[in-house]
Amino acid sequence: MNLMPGLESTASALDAERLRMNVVAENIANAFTTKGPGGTPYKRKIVDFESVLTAAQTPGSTQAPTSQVNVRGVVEDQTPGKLVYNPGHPDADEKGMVEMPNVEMSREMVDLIVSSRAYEANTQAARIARQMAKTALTIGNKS
Amino acid sequence: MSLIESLQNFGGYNLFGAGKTQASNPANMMKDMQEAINTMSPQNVAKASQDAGASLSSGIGGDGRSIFAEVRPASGGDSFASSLTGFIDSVDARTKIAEQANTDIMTGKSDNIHQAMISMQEASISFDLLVQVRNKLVDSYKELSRISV
Repeated sequence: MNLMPGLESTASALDAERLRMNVVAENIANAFTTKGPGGTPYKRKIVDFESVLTAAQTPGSTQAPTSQVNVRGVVEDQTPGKLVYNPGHPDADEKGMVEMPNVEMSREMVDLIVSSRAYEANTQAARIARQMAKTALTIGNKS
Repeated sequence: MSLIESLQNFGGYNLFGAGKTQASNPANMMKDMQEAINTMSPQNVAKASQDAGASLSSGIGGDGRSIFAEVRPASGGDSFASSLTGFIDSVDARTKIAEQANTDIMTGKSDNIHQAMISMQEASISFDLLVQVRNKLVDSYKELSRISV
């Protein structure tokens, strides 16, 4: 039970959006990394969200269990990257082709926008929840 | 029935989470308290304050998140004084959680700003609720003392 309504879901969503932001930034930073720690080019990472139900807080409570956002994991996108002809590159294979990471800048930019707007929306929800609680506390005021 | 007995007897109402927390949000708590003052009934005032205290100390769900840690007072009790003490303890616990979150951010141990902000808001709202409960109790006492013999 929280004094401010809906706060557990909001907090979990803020956590999840921060993680997505981290992952997007990592993708953008590694957009031209042709050799990773495993010897393969960098593969784009995706976050996997799922919603879980939290257990009812107290027995007999009138509140229904709420859904929270849970990060199931960060998975790598296995689609092969573009092959670019660059024979002078140290990672070029015998045909002179270098495999670039499968990071598309336009898609990462859109993910950035989505993530930041979702974060803003959740912050707004938290702010409104606080205002509702404060308003409720003024019921007992005189005059 | 003496006043003390009526305050202590809540019809088997059990605190700290095992009973019905129907006044589980601040609007209901305030409404109950206002009605209790208006009907001039000490049982209702005490019960409304008990509801406020119980819903505050009945735990916020232990998910492993620091801001939503269980805020449960050490000992239960049926008396009005102990429920008020439990209420104050839970407000204090929330304040401590908020302070700890802030310290973690400032020393760099955590970068979870939104958790710190949310726990600070929780602490402030619960403290406001405590102040309102105190105001209502003082008001009800004043009403009672105005009864002319």
